[in-house]
Amino acid sequence: MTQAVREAEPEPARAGSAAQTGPALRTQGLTKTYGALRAVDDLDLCVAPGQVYGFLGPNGAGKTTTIRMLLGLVRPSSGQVEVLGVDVVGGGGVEALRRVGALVEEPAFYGYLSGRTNLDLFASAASPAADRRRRRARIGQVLAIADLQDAAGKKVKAYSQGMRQRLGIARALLGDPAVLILDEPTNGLDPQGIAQMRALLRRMADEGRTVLVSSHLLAEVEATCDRVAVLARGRLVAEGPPGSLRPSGARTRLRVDDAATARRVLTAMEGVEGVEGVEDEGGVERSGGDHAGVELQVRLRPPATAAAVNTALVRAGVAVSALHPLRERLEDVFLDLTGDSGAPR
Amino acid sequence: MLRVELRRSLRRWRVWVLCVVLAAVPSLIVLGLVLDPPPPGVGDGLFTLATSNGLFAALAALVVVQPFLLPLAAALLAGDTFASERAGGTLRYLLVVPVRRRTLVLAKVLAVVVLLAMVLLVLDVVGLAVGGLAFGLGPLTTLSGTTLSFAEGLGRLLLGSGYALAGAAALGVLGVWLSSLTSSGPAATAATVGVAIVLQIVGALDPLSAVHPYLLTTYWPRLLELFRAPIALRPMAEGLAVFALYVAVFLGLTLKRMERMDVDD
Repeated sequence: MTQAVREAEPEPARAGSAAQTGPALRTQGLTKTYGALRAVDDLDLCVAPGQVYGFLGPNGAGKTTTIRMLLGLVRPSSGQVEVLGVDVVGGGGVEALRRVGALVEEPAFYGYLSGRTNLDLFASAASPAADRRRRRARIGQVLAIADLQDAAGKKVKAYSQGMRQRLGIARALLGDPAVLILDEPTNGLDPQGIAQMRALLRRMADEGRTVLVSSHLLAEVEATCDRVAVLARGRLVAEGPPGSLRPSGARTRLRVDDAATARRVLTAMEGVEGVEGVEDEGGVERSGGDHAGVELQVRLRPPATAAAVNTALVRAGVAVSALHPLRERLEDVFLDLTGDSGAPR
Repeated sequence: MLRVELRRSLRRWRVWVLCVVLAAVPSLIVLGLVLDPPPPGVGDGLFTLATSNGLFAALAALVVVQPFLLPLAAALLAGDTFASERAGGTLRYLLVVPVRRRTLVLAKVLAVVVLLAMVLLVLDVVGLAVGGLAFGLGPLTTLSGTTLSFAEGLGRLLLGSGYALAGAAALGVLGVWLSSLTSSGPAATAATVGVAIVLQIVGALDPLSAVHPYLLTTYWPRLLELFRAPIALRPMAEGLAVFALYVAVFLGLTLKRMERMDVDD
């Protein structure tokens, strides 16, 4: 996968062996303070080459500040930042940044110029000596990837938010980067735009690029990422494959006629057969018809199954009128992790 | 990077408006002199001499523009450099692309100087054209009463423009520094104009004559030395040295500021 990236590089000599073996992005003890505020607090991140890495956190958790430090825009108060094996602190990472494409918050352009001219200016700024024909060809390619060929001649100030976002991606891809750093790329997009952006991220991953994508929406990164880091108040609160963030096992809701017996049966199964966390559903008692009963919630881990729980309850003489798995709300998991009730919406 | 800056700037209307405004100055002067010619032999001021020769029309325009419109042009071009890129968010994308911060500062300063040179060239060309049409082009009478050939006179005009450019560039670099301190282009422009005005006011106050040698603006009018015979080189050399000093100081401050700045807006 990384080999493919190397071949696509316009200047393969620059690739360097460190980038192939070591992490694509790494921070160690990264800290940024603004006065008393610790915007980023002792952050250790490690993104392996070829990964799609989700960077999650509520607004204001320090994601953007971290990304700005990765890109050499903001100087860390302390700690280290490495991009493709190169220390970027102090503006020393210009050569590494050549192999990085980025979208940092809003995609900013010169509104009085066309999309194509904007790309041309940024490409020229990146490599003034590059061959003009090759540059134009590359601009054509990235415009095609972003599906903007038809709008390329329009002034950017006439672009919709979604078009700007796509033009931002196009600009990030200009240098055929090995690493893409995208800060909230779906911000302000409509559902169709979000779907397009996801498809684009997957395509970037398939092409072997390393992608760091930040978001304040868990579902967003869960759909696309190999690994996820969750940031809250500047600190790393969880890190791992997206599945590992959810508590394992399926939460299941039961409705029974005899809560006390049911609870005793379930508690007896607890721990032994993969049943845990028996809880009353807030004393919901319903009367009348099939829906009569008290609701309970349990978390079932293998080997426990809904059928086994049902059998055990029925043997104990408890009537089970409903038993169904609950869909875990991602937001709840996220809120548990970040311990933040207000920020994410 | 300089090419990128120029390509971008030349797509902005304001640059062309500046050119048009500065081209209007010699045109208005010539128009005024044609409609209402000063009585011959009265006084030896610039405007009287202007009717004698198209070259002088261009020179008169240069002298009129220097203390007001030229600083305004410098302020407008310089105020925009970093402030509007920060406000618009394009600064972070230039740095990420990546462009070295030092390269960006130098490119922006050079772009301001090149655009000011362009504006002055327009002024000269239009002045010569309009003045030439009205009064003809020929040998130039200096302020001291001697005569210079047309070629010599043209050379002096270009040197004078160069001197005016150096003086405006010194203010321009100051403006670029101010622009690096804010994310409001208009604020940086206004501050730069303000500096030019304050310096000229201080320069006009005799009780403050002790500081006059340190003021950028003190040296601006010395471009007229070129049109005396013989040319007093020393005052102009002093002027150029002071301009260079201003450029060095404010370029240094801008570089320091940009190298250290957290681009987090």
